[in-house]
Amino acid sequence: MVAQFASRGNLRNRVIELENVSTSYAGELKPAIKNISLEIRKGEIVLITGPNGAGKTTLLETILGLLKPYEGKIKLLGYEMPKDAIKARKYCGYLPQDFIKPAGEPFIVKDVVAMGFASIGKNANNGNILEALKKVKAVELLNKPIGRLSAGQQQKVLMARALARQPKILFLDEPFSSVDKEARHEICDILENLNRNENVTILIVSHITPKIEFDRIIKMKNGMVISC
Amino acid sequence: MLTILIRAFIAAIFAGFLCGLMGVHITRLNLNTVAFSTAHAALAGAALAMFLGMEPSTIGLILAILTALFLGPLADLFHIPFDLFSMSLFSIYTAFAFIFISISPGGVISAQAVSSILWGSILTVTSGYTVFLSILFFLVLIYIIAFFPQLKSLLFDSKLAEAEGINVKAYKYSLMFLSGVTVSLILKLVGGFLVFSLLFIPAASAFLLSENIKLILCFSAILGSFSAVGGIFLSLLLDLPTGACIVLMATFILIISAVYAHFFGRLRK
Ligand SMILES: Nc1ncnc2c1ncn2[C@@H]1O[C@H](COP(=O)(O)OP(=O)(O)O)[C@@H](O)[C@H]1O
Ligand SMILES: [Mg+2]
Repeated sequence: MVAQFASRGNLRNRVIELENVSTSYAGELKPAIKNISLEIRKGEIVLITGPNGAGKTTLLETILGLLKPYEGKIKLLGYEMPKDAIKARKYCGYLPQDFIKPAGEPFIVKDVVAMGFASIGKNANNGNILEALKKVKAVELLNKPIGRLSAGQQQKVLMARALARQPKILFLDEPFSSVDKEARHEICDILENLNRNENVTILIVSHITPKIEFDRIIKMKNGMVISC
Repeated sequence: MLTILIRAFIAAIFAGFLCGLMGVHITRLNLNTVAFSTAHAALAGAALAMFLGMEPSTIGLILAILTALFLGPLADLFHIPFDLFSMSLFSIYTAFAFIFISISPGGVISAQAVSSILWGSILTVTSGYTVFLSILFFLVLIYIIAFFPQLKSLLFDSKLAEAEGINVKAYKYSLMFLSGVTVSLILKLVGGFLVFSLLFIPAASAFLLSENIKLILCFSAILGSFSAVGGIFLSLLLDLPTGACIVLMATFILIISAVYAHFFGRLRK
């Protein structure tokens, strides 16, 4: 909170800026998100909530440049999106929603976490892989094939991958959808610590409200922000 | 005769390795159709060359390489799903191939020349061809080793890789290009109908044998090579067409792999 307070009004501390952004999916007449204007400052921890189909995932993917808006302007860490997406994304951690791989996927947990380093020019080694897995209390999964883990375990592994990148911004899409209550509390603690101690900006999309002291709660419905 | 044979076997080793490596990548990334469009670009190019009285395989190769190079970027530029674009090109090329063959002077002779493209022959393997194939092999090997962390991320989940800032398009385009060049070069050896088998069957065997991507790539390359060499050997022994024998060999290995996987499971490490 202190960091956020100190930075209020400082233009350079706006890590995400959206101006009148609308995105629609190919072949759909109705836009999935409409006229969204939003500013998120460095060090904020924000919840984006709303019913299914409200446009939460679409908003996240649009900010990351995975979806291209048909109107509006987006800046992520000062980079123009989606034009400079590849540069901006190197500073981001992303946990996609409903991520689950079937049994037989030819990758073990160690590989999956190591991939987080592939785009940031850092070398993966046992040390930093284990460190990331330790954070989510999943060290024992190190050599397990990813497809042979439960949905909750897979979600933890992907969280470890996102954390391993030491991102400036974390985008988490329904990070609690598959994990149990205990793990949910653990993850909430990790995120709060990360936010407080390392000033990481965190955006959490969730239709349930996790036990975190959010700086801001953005409510969405029908592709629009109804309160923020 | 002996030097032709030695050249053919060396070419087969490189061809098998190349197909094995590219096969795993394009299967995982759902880019299989790149093989169809480039192979038929080579065919159409060859038919065009015959009509114009030029050297068929060179023109075929050029058209195939151009196709492999521009396929991905053009599909993206016009927002056409990649598979759809690739298969449309495949049909168009096939149509043109038939048209050029039918209007070529001396239809029967050119049909024979085309059939060598369709079926492949080790007799067409020159030392220049073998050198070209080996250069391509080392390029592909260097590419895979140099970019392995990024490729691995892409093979695991390309959307997540993209979200993390990996230039997914550049990797996909380059993989399509390398696969396209591989396919169009190997046509000469295996033939247009059967080049796909060398691309997909060893990869399928490798996926059955292991649950570790590195091992899968190694197995696929080795089994591809084994299929190609074994197939040529078989074709000499039984005096049957080369391409068909390579398919028989690859399929035989696939069956053994399936049986092995059924009883012993898949290797993880
Ligand atoms: N791939 C897609 N193609 C077409 N429409 C989609 C697609 N994904 C989502 N939508 C539509 O966009 C709207 C917003 O979806 P989404 O952002 O996934 O909502 P949320 O994450 O809030 O549940 C919904 O109406 C949904 O039907
Ligand atoms: Mg969603």
